[in-house]
Amino acid sequence: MNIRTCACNSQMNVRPATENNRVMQCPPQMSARPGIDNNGMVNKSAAFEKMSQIQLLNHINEVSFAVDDLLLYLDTHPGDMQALTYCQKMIKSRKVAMDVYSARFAPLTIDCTVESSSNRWEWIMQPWPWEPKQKGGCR
Amino acid sequence: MWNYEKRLQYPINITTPNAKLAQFIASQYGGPDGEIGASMRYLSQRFSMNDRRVAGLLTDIGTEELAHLEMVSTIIHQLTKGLSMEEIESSGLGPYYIDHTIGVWPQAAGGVPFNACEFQVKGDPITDLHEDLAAEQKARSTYDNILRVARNTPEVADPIRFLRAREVVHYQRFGEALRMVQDTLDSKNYYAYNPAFDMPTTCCE
Repeated sequence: MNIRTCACNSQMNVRPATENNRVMQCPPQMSARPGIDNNGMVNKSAAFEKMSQIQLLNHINEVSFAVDDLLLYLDTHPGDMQALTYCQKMIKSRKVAMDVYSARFAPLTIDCTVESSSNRWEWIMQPWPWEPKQKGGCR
Repeated sequence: MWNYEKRLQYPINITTPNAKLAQFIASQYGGPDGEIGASMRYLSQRFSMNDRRVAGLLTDIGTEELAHLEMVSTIIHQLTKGLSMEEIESSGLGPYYIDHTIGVWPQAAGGVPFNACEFQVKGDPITDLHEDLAAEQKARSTYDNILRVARNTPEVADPIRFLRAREVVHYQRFGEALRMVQDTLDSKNYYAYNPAFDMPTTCCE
């Protein structure tokens, strides 16, 4: 299977409907970041502990997008082992990143609320993603 | 069947309100080819798909469209937050403001409210998949039109470009789904019967 990289935003490759043997993946620089390798979850977790909130959220956005895109591809190519393996790797990495983010900053899902050691319902205390980041808004 | 994550699929940070752009982009929220229609179409069609892979694809793409409708409504919200009364009255947003203030309400740029006539569920897999292919192209064209008017506003054009690219990918997936359905039918006559009505649901593989 031929893997072609996409830029994840504006330079996404537009392929004709007859080509059905390509899968997109997130930018290659993701695999060059410290800790994102095959050496197990401990390595990843350590890297996530060092990232700032924005960096970690960006990473979660990227790896989650890889999962979102692969999930659709796998719906129509359920036997593609290479895609399946890559997807599972992304899912595991995402899970670790989400748990670290939730423990360090704020829960991203209801299940992540248990990571927080806060004694209030953090779920609604943090801003909602549609709130503008400049003047005004509940921050 | 839905949980959610407290983040957008693609970040949106619009720093300058713009009433005109908000009115135009409203079509991708509540317009005839917008994301509400897309998600309702796919999440409704999935029930009458005999092929489990296609029902799964419709559920997954329908879910992604829910995330997209949230992105579009976020764009509209951020483009209208902080508008002055002068800007509202002079930009053409006046009539909308009378009925909705600067709330986000699903309508097309031309004012037609969102309604179920803007999508179809025919209950026939081949028909419905053709509807879905067309829907993705209509959405892509609408985003092309939006990009022409938002060309000088990168903070708006950037998430719009992402959404447009996703429509193209969805089109590809629906094409594959159509082929999958046809592969299970008689190639001499795909229309001999409606596999979702005349046959029981099948497992695949």
